[in-house]
Amino acid sequence: MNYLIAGLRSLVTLSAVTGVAAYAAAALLTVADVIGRQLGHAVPGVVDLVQLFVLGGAWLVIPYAFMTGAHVGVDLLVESLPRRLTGVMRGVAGLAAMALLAMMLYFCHATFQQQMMFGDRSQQLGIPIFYYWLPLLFGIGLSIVGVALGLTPSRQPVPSTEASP
Amino acid sequence: MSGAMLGLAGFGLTLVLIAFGFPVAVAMALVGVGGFWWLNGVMGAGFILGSSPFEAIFPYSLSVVPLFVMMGVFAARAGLSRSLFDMVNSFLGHVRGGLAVTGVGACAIFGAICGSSLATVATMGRVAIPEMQKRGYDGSLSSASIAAGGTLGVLIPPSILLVIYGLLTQTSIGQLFIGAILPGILGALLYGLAIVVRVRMAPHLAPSTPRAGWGVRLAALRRVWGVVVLFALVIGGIYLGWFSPTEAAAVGAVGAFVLALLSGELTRDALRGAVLETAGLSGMIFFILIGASLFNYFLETTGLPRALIDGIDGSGLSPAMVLALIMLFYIILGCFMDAMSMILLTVPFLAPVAASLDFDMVWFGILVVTVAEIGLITPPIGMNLFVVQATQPELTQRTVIRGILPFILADVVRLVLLAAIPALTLWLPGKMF
Repeated sequence: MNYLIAGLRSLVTLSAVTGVAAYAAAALLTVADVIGRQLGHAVPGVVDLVQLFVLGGAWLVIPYAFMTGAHVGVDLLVESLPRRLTGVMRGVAGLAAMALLAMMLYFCHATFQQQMMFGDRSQQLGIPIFYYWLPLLFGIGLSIVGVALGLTPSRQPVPSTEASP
Repeated sequence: MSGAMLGLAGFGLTLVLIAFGFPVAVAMALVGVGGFWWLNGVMGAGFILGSSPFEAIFPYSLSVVPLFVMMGVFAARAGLSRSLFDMVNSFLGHVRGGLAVTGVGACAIFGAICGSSLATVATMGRVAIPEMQKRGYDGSLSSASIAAGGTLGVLIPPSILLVIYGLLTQTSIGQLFIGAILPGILGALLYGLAIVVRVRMAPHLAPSTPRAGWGVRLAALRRVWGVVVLFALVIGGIYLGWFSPTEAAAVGAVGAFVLALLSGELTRDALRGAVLETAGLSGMIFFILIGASLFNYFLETTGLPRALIDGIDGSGLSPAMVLALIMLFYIILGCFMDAMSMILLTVPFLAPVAASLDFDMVWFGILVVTVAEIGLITPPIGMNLFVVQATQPELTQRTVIRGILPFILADVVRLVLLAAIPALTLWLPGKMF
């Protein structure tokens, strides 16, 4: 069981690293486009590509935010409750988040199938919509795992986010 | 129950769920979906659940969010905090209370680059507070000046909160950034004034320190040239019309990475930490945007924003009184909620009210973010108060809170000035290319 949990934690972390790599690709493409425009060689379809990398990146990092409890909340009341009740409250919140994500996955899959049926593509480069939806569906599914892992005591400390804006 | 009452009940239920420990994004999403289901049936709820996770993240303008987060995270890891503190200290350290003013100034610059209030307090607190303690500064003054200084990063561009406000209200992010410059500088000046006045009244709080020579000052300036260039490029580029905000964010992210690399601070572990911090922060922001999108579907269906506008029209209240009430509402809410959640939860129904009263949306946005800043240092849950204490465990929460009142007063003065003189916010955007 511990191996399974450790493996899933690594998968969520790997997904997060891939997501940030996608952001980096979006940043580099945009900078290349800014420089390229000055030289008369803009990057073709930069908006399509940046949207793809950011949408994909976002859904690849969201599971990590769930796993590490990075989502903002107010602990003022919960922290003043007895320890056992605090645990119950966190469990209820986690289960509610998992139910929400499961419903999201179900309905997003339906929307995805509908868009595939219509053969939707991006506006500039004609990138099949499949490439936009794949990381999204994977990210929602992995977020359910991320919430579950967030409720599981960690043997190894996960590097936590230091701050919020 | 009328639609508007249902909207209010939904707002109340969201606050209750948040109070009971639900993450803000999850609480907003659950109430949004549940309420929409109640009003439009399962197919309606299915529609918003199947489209929001895509639509809330897909717009190109949203690319600024992860890119500014990356810029902030890498800039924070470039070892800038010490250099910035030394640079400001070389110019202001000799004034009585100057080290505390230095802390505020360094926080303002660091916060502007980093964009995160809590990261600014955590980083600068470790650098500035020990230095002040070494020179005999009172703990309440040193800790409170850093806690307050940290809030400036929320407003001084590039600011994630302004980006989110801009996206929610369809207001130009570039204009918001430029509009925030003078209010941010005003905030830093008023904090400095608060320190000077407090030290005048109680000189024992801050002994004087020797003046630095020009050689020291120039050497300190040389160590921070990278930050100055990066900030000037990002904000100056937007102001001069060289870049869109998304392009400026990309330039900033790549620039901050290069600075961190050149600083020699970006070890393998630091890089891993930066990547995972970017993931956690941006993941949190994106999911909260999805939650807000679901909540807004519900809110719009209830007609609450329209009912609020009609109610205000019929109440006979002047626009100034409505603005004062909105600001008071934010100050009270800010005592219990973090700034981003507060903005995401309330702007969708308060922005239409502001628009109906012909408020300039850039001006209103700066006021909202300024008042949200105040929440970061107001007890009982002003996050910066906790973070600054965490950097110096020997400080008590009571010590920090004892010193924070002059800064809250400075914030209130700033809020009144910004509300009374819209030109403080709108003059610079009016000069944009």
